[in-house]
Amino acid sequence: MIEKKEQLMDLQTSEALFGLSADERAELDRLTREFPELQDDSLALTAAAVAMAELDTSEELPAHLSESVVREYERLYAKPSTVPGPAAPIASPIVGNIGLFGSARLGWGLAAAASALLAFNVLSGISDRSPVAVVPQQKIQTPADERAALMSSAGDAVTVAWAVDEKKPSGVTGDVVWSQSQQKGYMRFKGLAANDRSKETYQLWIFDANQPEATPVDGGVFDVDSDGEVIVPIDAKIRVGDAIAFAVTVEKPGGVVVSKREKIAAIAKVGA
Amino acid sequence: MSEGLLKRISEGDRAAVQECLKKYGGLVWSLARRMCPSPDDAEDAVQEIFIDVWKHAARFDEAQASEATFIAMIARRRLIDRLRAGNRRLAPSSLEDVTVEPSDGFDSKLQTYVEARQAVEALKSLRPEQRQVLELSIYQGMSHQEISDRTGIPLGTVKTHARRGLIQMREMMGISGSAKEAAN
Repeated sequence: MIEKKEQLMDLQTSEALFGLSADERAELDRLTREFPELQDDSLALTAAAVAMAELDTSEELPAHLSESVVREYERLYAKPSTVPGPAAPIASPIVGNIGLFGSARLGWGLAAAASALLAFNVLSGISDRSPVAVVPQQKIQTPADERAALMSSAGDAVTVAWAVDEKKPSGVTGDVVWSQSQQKGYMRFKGLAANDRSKETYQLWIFDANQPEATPVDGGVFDVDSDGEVIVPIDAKIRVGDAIAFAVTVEKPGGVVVSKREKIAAIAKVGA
Repeated sequence: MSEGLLKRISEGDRAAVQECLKKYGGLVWSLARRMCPSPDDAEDAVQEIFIDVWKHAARFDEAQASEATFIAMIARRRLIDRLRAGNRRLAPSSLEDVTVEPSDGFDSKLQTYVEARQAVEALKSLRPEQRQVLELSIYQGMSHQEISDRTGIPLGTVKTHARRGLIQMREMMGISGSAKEAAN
């Protein structure tokens, strides 16, 4: 009996430090079944704490990898009916009639994504997998919900108000919320004039401290159909290193690659 | 609020998944970069590790260890398995003098990982040969036999040092375990 327990401890030590061969794994499993009261992660936890002490964690998980992990989570555990859309407006009373590349296209995109996921699950048998826990139905997130969630979850989220030009007031108020770590953000407007989408569109530019002022990051185009409060997800085309300002310009439909900055609808400077 | 992230994940809270990646993604990525031969391999490993984390989230017991240590444990298990499957070892960066000091090389982010700080202190308190065995295995990824070959310590003694050193550290760090009574 004591010998077996000693062997179990040896195997737990080996597992924590060196890993186990298939035979050793089988033996550990067998002994653990025999002595379930000795099932224990404490040695592995201790080794993990030692390993953490040596690490340099200054490098964050790459954004594309983080997104890929989330997609995998969604694929394995989320129900098709609860698949959230991309960070874009979904029907929401507070949003008014925003059109980020057109609401119809978004709707089709969401439906296609949900259908594809359902088809994949059925074909691959993923739906038969046993998840850790039942994923409860979740309500569809509005941009307002997502903005609030970002503000509460991202420790580095900054909120920057749109600047007011006292000499030439535009009437636009609101703010920008941006999280550097999540590369995610939302613009909130009140008083931003509805645009005639056949003639023009709004486009966001994000000025990065690490990039020349002449080449801000394209933050996406969007349309506004009402003068009420509008919340628009930011759609940065590339990673933003250190956002120092946000500017909304009026451009031709579809947006531009380089803005002439002839019509500026709103500006927000970090730390201003 | 980061407390209870794993519990929230086990209950299907998808927002907690994002928070978990934000809070512990750097930790897992660092471990994977440390223990994988290439960035591509590290990316594959990170995917596997987080699937393991979601799968085992319900097992987390905050009375036993912190979330960071629990996730690091899951990561190490996966990474060690991959190392063994590929018959590889960690890059021999500093075989001559493997020491851990909470100084220049001690990343400030880890100040939040209480158990990592405790581990540094606990390592210092071990007998030199115990410390050497643990450092060569954990930081260099050496097997029992490789440590024996390198240090000249008999294989059986390497195993004894590993076990006793790890148990002593566990006691000093206050990591609870149901098997303590069998350790003596």
